[in-house]
Amino acid sequence: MAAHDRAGPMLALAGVSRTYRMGEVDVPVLRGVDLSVARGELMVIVGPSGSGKSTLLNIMGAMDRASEGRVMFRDRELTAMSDRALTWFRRNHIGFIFQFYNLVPTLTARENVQVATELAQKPLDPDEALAMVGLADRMDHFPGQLSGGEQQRVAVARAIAKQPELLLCDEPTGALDAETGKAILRLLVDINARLGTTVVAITHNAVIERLGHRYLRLSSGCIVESAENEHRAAVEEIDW
Amino acid sequence: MSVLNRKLRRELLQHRGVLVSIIAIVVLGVACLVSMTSSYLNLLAERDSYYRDGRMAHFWVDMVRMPDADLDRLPEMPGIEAIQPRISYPATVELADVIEPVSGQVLSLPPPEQVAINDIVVRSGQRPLPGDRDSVLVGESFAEAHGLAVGDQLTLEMGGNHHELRIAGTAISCEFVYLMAPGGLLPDPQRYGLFYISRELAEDAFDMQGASNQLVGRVSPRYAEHPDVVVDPMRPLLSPYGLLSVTPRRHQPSHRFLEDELDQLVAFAFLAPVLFLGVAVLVINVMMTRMVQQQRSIIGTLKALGYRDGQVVWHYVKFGLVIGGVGGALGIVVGQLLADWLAVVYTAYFELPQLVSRFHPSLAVAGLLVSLSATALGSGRGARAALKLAPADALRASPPLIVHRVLLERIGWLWRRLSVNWQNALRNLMRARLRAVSGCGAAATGVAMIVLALVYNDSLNELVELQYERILLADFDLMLRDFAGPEVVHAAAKLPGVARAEPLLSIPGTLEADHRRREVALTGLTGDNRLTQAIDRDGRRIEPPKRGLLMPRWLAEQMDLRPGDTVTFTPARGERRPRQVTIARTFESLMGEAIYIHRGHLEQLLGGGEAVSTVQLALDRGTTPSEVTYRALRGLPEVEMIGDTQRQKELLETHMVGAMRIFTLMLIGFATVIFFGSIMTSGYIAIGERQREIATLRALGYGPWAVGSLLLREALVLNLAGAVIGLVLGYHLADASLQAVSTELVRVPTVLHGRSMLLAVAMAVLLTFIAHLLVQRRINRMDWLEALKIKE
Repeated sequence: MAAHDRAGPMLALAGVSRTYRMGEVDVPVLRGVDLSVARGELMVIVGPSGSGKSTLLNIMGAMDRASEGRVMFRDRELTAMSDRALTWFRRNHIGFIFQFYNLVPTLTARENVQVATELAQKPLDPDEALAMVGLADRMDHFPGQLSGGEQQRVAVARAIAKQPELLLCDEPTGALDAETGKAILRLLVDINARLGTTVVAITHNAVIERLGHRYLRLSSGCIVESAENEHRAAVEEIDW
Repeated sequence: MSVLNRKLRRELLQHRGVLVSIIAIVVLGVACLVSMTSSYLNLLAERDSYYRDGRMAHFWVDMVRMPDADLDRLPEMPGIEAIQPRISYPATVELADVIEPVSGQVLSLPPPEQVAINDIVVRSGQRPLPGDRDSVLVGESFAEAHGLAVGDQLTLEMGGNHHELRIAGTAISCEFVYLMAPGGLLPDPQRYGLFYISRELAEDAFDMQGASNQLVGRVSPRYAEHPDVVVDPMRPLLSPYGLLSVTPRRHQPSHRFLEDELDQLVAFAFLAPVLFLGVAVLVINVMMTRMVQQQRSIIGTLKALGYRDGQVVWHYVKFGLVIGGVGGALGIVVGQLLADWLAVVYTAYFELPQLVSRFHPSLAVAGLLVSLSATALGSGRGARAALKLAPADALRASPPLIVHRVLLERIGWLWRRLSVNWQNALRNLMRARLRAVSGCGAAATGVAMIVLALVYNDSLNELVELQYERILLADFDLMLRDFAGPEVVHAAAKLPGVARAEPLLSIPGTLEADHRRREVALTGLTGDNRLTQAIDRDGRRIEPPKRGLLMPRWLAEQMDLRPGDTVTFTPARGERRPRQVTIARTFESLMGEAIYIHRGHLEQLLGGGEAVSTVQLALDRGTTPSEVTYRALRGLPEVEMIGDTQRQKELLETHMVGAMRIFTLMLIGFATVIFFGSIMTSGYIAIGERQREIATLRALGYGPWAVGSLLLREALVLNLAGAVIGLVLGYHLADASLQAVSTELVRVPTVLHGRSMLLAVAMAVLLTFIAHLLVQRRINRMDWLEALKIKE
């Protein structure tokens, strides 16, 4: 019944490396990563800090460029696109959720969602998106007036309101306590199941890998383990 | 409204303190641009229409006497459109209740059927009719100064006779927009006026039946700028009539003053906006650079969401545009109000028919465009950083601050003596170089403005001091109708209250060298002269050489002459025969265009015999002239006009004190706006940037004032450094502008006293403290417990 069983690959990385130049030395962050994300899949990438998770996510989301290798989104090669084309690509296909929410402090919850919907081609109504994350009654509050969990919900609403095909989550629970974090995870699982949105989440928290259809383990820029969850755990079953 | 514009609006409101102070700077820049340019256009338009309607002359020819019948016999001169003869003489005026010497210029009115050159505008009453020998039309400012109205009586002493006349009306004329007594520097309607009388009365009074002593003429448009080209060929034809001088319009005093004023307006209309908007660009740049840094993650998120670089940069540039738009619009309003006020000031200064302050839509558009471009430049430079920020980098925490040792730390003995707080302040300054440069630049501009005002004060005081305490020591100059012998001097010396009387021989004439020609006056001095001395700009007395001319350097340069050159001098009085004379030396002259020569040499040039043209009087020390002295002076039959040096000095001082007070206050106000704008911006930025540091210090037990003093230290260092630069900048700015406003008649020395420098620096420190109070207020209100929790 898992959504990904029915679908072909949406995103494919082949031999992707990323090196940063720090002063005089080149520091490799990713080394020859191969992976593919299927349409409708919920994938969790786990790794300790410094393993290259965020860089991998940024490359998947067209926010950063690979130093080597190819990134394909369906039949389009992201690695060959101009900056302008990448911007266009992000606008139409990708949703992001960040560890620290990254809301604009001077905009209300609704307006923060509008920041995304104003750009998108077929957006959800911002109110509807906020209702989906359970914030129907907090729409006119500023980020400063919301709890961390609520702020992250606004960020989720902002991400899904664009109706992206691929939702990328960078440590979505990293700044939250366990209960609040689980509520956010429930939302992500729900979005994946109900809307069919492909979701890739990175985390250092290994228990979260049990929620995905599949999980990868990243260490020092290399994928060291890739496995399917034969029995996906429900959010209620995990704890940290 | 798009959601990003809503973000913009809220953030603008959040930063309103800083915004108001930056907008104030922009407002001043635009207001200066609009008001000065508008005043220029208003004044120019009014002058041009006045000149056109009044048919302003292109040249004036003064002669001893020319029969009018001969004028018609002059051959047709190509390029000359019209010439009209008139009678023009100085006269003294007697008014009931006025004991001081009052004089003026009497002009004959042309016959009414003639389209007059330099036509008058009758402001009240009417012109005396032809043949009317009992009426006079009085200059409007003179009538107003003395409360004279149509029907009142006044007495003119013309050609040695008293004429009691009825005031038929008042008038103004385009050739006397700025009316000065000969040798004067400022209009003095209390003491000097214009009097128009009928041709018949003028002929009778000055014994000029059928003759004139002045021609006014107009040339065809292509010669309007250089009437000399067509007038010079007339000289030989006119010399039999005792040609005294030919004055092209550009040398006519009233026109020259108006022209100088217009030039100054243009200069300030350029300089002031450049200074203000330059500071605004710096400050906005700093503010935007900081804002972009602070909103790194928001920029990253926007880019991650798919906003294009251009959209993000445009969003930040709009901050500048709002400042530019609001500042520009307010600046236009303030500028228009200033222009209206300036029109009133000019109406008191220049006699014009109707100087109206118009609204110039194109100027408003220009003001807005200049303001928008400047602020877009400032914010664009700051927002550029947003462009460079790759989305992935923007989302990553900003790289940790790498603090290097600052230069001062290498000077160990000095560094060790500084307290930790001073060390911290200096390190912070060196770290944020752009901000330091911008703060320093703003302070330098502010101090430069204060220095500008102080230099103007010091320099003008120096000028007045030199002119009236060192050069012109006489209290009165009695200008004689004809040359007289030494007995006039002896007679004057015996007048009540007179301590000293000296003869002066001053001969107007034409100086020629190659084809350059200039109307000048030679002043004969001996070593015995105490009341008039040749003084250079350092205040040193220069003895006139035994032979040859002692000439102002600017005049020599203008005529391309050097010491040793020989020139031809044709005196306009006495025997008018050309004489060769050499330039003995040149000197730096501050005021006037007097050329000095030894009196013996001058007398010799004139054909021998002791001659006096002016008697100079000094009163008993410490006394003011009494009514008796005035009566006695006016009783001297040989005197044509009385120059009152003390009056000139008083006039100059009152006029200057008033004008300088406004000017100084304005510039100090400008400097205050700049200081506030700069200090508040950098202070608020520092608070925003170092919330955590401030919170930590508070947690450690620092009080809000102790924390504030850290920021104050930085502001003081910056503003003191800026003040030093400002001293130099202001001095050079003042020097350049004084050179620019220096005319042939007045060259202002650039002086800045030590106490003025101290005052400028003290004001910089004071303004820094006051502006810091606003920053301090924000520190006092800061929720530092909350700030401790901020992630970095």
